[in-house]
Amino acid sequence: MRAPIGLRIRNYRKIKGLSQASLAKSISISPSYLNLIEANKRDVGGKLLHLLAQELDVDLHDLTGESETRLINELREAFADPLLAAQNLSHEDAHLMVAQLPRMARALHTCYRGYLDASASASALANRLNADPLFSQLLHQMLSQITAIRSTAEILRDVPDMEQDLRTNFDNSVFEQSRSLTDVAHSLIAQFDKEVKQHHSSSPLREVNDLIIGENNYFPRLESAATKLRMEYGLKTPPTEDRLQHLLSDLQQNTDMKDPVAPFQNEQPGRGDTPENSYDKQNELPPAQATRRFQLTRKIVALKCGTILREMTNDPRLTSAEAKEIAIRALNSYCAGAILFPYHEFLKDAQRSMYDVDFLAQLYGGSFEQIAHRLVTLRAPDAHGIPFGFLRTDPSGFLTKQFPLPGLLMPNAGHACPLWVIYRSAQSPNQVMRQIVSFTDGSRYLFIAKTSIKRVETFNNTSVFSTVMLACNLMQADQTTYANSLRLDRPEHDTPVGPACNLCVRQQCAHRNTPTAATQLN
Amino acid sequence: MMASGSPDILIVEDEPAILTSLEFILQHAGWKTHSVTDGEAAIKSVQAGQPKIVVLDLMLPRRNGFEVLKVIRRQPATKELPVLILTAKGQQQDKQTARELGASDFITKPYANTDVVEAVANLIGQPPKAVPAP
Repeated sequence: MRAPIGLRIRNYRKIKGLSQASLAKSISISPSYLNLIEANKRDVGGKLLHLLAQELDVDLHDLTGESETRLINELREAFADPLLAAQNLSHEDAHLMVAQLPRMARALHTCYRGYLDASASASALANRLNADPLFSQLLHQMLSQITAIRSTAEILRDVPDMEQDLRTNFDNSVFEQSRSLTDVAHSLIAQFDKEVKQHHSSSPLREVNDLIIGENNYFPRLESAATKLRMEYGLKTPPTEDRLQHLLSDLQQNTDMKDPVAPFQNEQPGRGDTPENSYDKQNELPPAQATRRFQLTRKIVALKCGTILREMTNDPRLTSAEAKEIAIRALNSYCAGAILFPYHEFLKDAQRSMYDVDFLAQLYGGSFEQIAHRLVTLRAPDAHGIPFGFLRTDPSGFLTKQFPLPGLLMPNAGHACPLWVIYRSAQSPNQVMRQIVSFTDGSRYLFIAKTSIKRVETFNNTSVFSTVMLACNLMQADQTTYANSLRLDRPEHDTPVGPACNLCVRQQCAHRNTPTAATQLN
Repeated sequence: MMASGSPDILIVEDEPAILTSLEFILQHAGWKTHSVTDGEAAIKSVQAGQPKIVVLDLMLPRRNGFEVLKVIRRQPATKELPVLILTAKGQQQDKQTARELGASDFITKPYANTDVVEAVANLIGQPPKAVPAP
């Protein structure tokens, strides 16, 4: 039930304060004819509709009802939200409100969008609180002090016949802990202020990271889509480049293909195009075979799963078009990985090989980075692998991609601790390097890093390389091949590290290059 | 701090104020306690003389609480030893990891003293001599 166009014309005329006669005169029709239009007894369109919109000073879409249709749909979405569900507002209510009180309807819609944005901000802040190492340490410190105060206060209350010396000690303890708690609380408030300011400039990439972190880097809908696509086209493991190329050509020729996404428009030249036309053959070598297969698969996903990718990025955590575009590319890559490395088969091989990334890379024809990335996504609740964190740096050491591991203190951006093996690895390309690290909170991790050359050096082109690092909790390290011959039970031999200099509390570290933001902790 | 005789409870906690109050409430409840402040010492203590229960913090220097728990569960002599986790790390992932590694019970800080005393009593099957009022 859309509001009839005549009713909309009448409403806008009344809002404007015009009589039928004056409006009819200004557009050179008779008042009786305008009356028939407003009563929906005559069609209106073309030049006359333009004239009416012009005289009523409204957008043409508002008169034709296109804007109304969008608004009605948006109000229906708002009415379905748990926030308004108790009001039992129906679809008809949305129609009625848009037809009779259009400005109120828009105001309600604006409020609802504001509410969604605020919820997304709160959610992003909550995610940040969980992931930020400094917050984590401050909160832990507060909880410890509150525990000591509460427990000691209960003792003082419940044990009246205590020796005076002991009572004095407990009294002093409460006093000292309370004072220290106040300092930590002030530090926390200062961090909150900083965090809120930073959030307003939150980058689209961060929003995408929040989305991925929120979903534990596991997307069952994409896993299902990948399985369906493999079955539909009989793709084997691993599919050959020729097979993928033919499949892509077939799909591109299919005129029924609807709504493909274009996830490659902002990528580097050569990425995402077919091997034949993606690089200048005279000056540049083609990408490695693993990369070509991955690119072809991404194009197939873009053509076949565009609607799914778009729907999945219609998420309140993604507040800008740029964030949605980045998310589409990330989810596209996820789906491509799920096609090339099918979940259950890959998990089984990963466990059998003790997560040997190079072995899996050869078995599946993937690159070290593709395999490492896929290992991070093995988080299905009913069949999961070891939880891994993932980091990638460019040749300058700048973090270009990360998937956090719960508990591991990782910087959100910039550079990580210079002692991490990810930086040493760049000095020895193509070799897997490993390291056991200890953080100041006593947590210990196994780091595995490898620097891969993505484009070999020629006379005209310098080589391009990136370093990928996987991290796992030391408790699970013995399930990996990388723990072989390492002394996991000798923490004194660990490398003492932090997340990054500005987040690290090791004041005396000889490798510190920037002051810590955590000075107030001490 | 060691009470006379072999301990009933090994307390592993690196925060001095919390350690002091834990020692007091558990001794006040009638049990003998022995305390250490890092993970390495905890493993040595468990191997040296088996307590009836280990009250274990997670964030510890020199091998964290998860590692200590894992070592305890791997040793045939201690694999059935009750381990009560007391920690400020109350995230679901930590609880799940503790469960998977074989923790007997999990209490999140800040706690009421009675919660700790009751959990210990349940796990060792021995009622306390005195229970602080809730």
